[in-house]
Amino acid sequence: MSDPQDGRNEVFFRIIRHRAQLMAVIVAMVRDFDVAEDLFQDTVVEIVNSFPTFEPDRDFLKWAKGIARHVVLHHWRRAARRPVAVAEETLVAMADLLIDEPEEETWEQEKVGFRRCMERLSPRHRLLMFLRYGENLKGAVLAERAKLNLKSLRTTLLRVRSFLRECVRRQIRGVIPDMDGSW
Amino acid sequence: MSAEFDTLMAEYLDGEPDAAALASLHRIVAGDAGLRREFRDQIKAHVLLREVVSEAMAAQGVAAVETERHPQKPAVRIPRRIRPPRGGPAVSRPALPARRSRAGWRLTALAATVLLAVGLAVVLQWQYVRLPDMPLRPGLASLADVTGRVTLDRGGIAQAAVAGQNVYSGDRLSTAGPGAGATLLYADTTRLALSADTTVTLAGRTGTPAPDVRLAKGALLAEVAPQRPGRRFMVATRDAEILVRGTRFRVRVAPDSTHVETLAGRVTVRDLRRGESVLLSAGERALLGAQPMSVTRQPSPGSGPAAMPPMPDGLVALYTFQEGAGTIIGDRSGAGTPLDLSIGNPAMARWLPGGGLALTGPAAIVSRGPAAKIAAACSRVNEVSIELWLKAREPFAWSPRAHPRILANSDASLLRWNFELGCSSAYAPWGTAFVLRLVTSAPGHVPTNPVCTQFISAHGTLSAALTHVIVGRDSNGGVHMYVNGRDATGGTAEYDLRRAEVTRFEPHFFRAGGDLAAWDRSLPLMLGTAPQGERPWLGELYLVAVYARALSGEEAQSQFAAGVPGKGGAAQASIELHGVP
Repeated sequence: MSDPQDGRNEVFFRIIRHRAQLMAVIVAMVRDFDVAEDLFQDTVVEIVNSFPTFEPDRDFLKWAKGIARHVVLHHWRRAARRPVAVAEETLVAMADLLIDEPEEETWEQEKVGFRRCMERLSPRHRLLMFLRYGENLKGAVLAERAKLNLKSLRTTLLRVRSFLRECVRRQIRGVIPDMDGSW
Repeated sequence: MSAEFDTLMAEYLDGEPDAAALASLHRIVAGDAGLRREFRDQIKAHVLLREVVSEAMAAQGVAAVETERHPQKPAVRIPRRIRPPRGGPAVSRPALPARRSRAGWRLTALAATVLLAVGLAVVLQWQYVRLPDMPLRPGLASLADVTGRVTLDRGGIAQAAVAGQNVYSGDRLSTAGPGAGATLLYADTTRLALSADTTVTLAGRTGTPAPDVRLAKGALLAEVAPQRPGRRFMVATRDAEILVRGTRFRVRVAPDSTHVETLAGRVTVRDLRRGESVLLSAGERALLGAQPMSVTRQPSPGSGPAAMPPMPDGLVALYTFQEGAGTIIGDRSGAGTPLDLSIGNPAMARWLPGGGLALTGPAAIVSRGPAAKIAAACSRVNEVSIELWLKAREPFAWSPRAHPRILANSDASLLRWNFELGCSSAYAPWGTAFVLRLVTSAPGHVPTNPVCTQFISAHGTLSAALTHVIVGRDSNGGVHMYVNGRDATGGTAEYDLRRAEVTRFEPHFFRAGGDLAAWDRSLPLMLGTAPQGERPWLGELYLVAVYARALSGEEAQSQFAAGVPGKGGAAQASIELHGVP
């Protein structure tokens, strides 16, 4: 007989492995990390509770992303935090772009890559990343803290992210042999 | 890529786009496969950067508690290394007026220093003098882990407890049913692990004689962080008060008695019926109830080195997994400062009755400091051996690029290591096998070398059965592997990191020449997986030992014959662990 505890651990293990992918769906809809992290907790509970109904031959990640999407919709409806109707439809459609895309198993590699590439940023740009992604600041508040005007802020953030993505791409292409695969 | 897409994407990720902007973004993304991919990649980068930066901040000691106590401070302290250089472009600091004179600036700086000192004094006064008189702050303790049926009763209203939830003074927590448990984490890192069928009530941490926790029934294991001078952490039961300044102990309340056992340090136990107190040292137990308090001076089984049979010489770290609860795995080697391991993700680890730890996911088990004593001892003699009693969990479905580590003296990214013992199924038709990597000064054994040498155990040596393993290197560079007391020499693989493929495989072990002088003393010891949960190894562990010596084939045989420590010989161990002879 299967141990229910093992089943529970198995689903937790799967959720942890796909945490970033699930967060991506939630962030695409709510566009705020703090809110997204709260909703991720709700998603975990929902996935664990629904796991007994999961059919093993289905794609777990796609199924779990569907639950994340449902949790956000439920959150909007329950707490009267619903964006205007048109925007809600669009945000759901954006999230669907992520749910429907085939997954590549490169998230962990890319995460290691971002960790290393962050070290290559100038102190000023690293500070900007810490304010944006660590403190979850954006818009006028971030511009004020970073002493930039709003337009420069958007441009700088785009440029820094673009640099980091290119740096990560180079690592994955094997220019730097430290990404894994050693055994 | 269109400028319109860039603008809309920037607004989407970092701003507050209106419905029209969102609709425009969706229209151009939905109609272009390339932009769809770009959209997805940007979201991916956005989310991964959040994780990477959050982890970096956590690693650099950004304490949420501090933020809570000092709301006037910025929510997150910016690490020193990313602060703008003095006089350089001030990013977050207001610029000084350009015409301010040097003397005026100095005066301002002096005034600011004085104000800062006064402010600090006020803050310290508030923190260390006023705080004890204050009621429990919200969020002082939180539920770090919840397993099974756990109920939180607040003001007479009971609800299911959830991991991550804050708990408050007066809250009552109950675990019900076999396997249920919860871990409470206080702001000062004190942890209380509640066993099944346990009920506790939280009291205010006021610094007065009032208990921190009242244990009504069941059992708990406490790992109490060092307390401020004059303050002691107290657990109260119907029969006793247990007071500590910072140590590990466990308490069990039976229908007619209270049992207290000290696992480390010293614990004061006060008999509430008779008013007498005793000081329990590590390994001692007290029994309180209707009868006068009795103290057992003998260490309990598995609670210290005395419970262990003699181990071979050269032992530098030993884990026997006898704790039975909590998140600390004690180093029982008795060599130097104990290198205890901490279970970072207790939901993925389960203590086994009678000893042992089952890893059911990425449990993030890492030493509480660098494994310097291992690196120092092994590099001094140029020898090392690793011994394990384990049981791997099937199915062995490891992907070729994610082979799990069982034991690693490695950094969190797994990019620097002294040694790593893992398992692999990548060497088909070799089957599942143990894999050892060692750093020596010889080419092929240096982490930065693009070609990495790995030692693979013999075909079929890794299975789901209880298994005894010894691997090691002697001072002549000879590499040895013994599985269940027998030589398990398999082959040597050379793996090209740039091409991500095995470029050479020979069915014998090469010498791991050079020496171990370059072993990095700053690296921690990790069990089962890296802290980020990468490459988890799943299964059960009964013993992990590291020696600064190469164990011989005869020693491997005798260690296997001795079986799992505390459980008799190998055959007996099999009966006890699996229930079949």
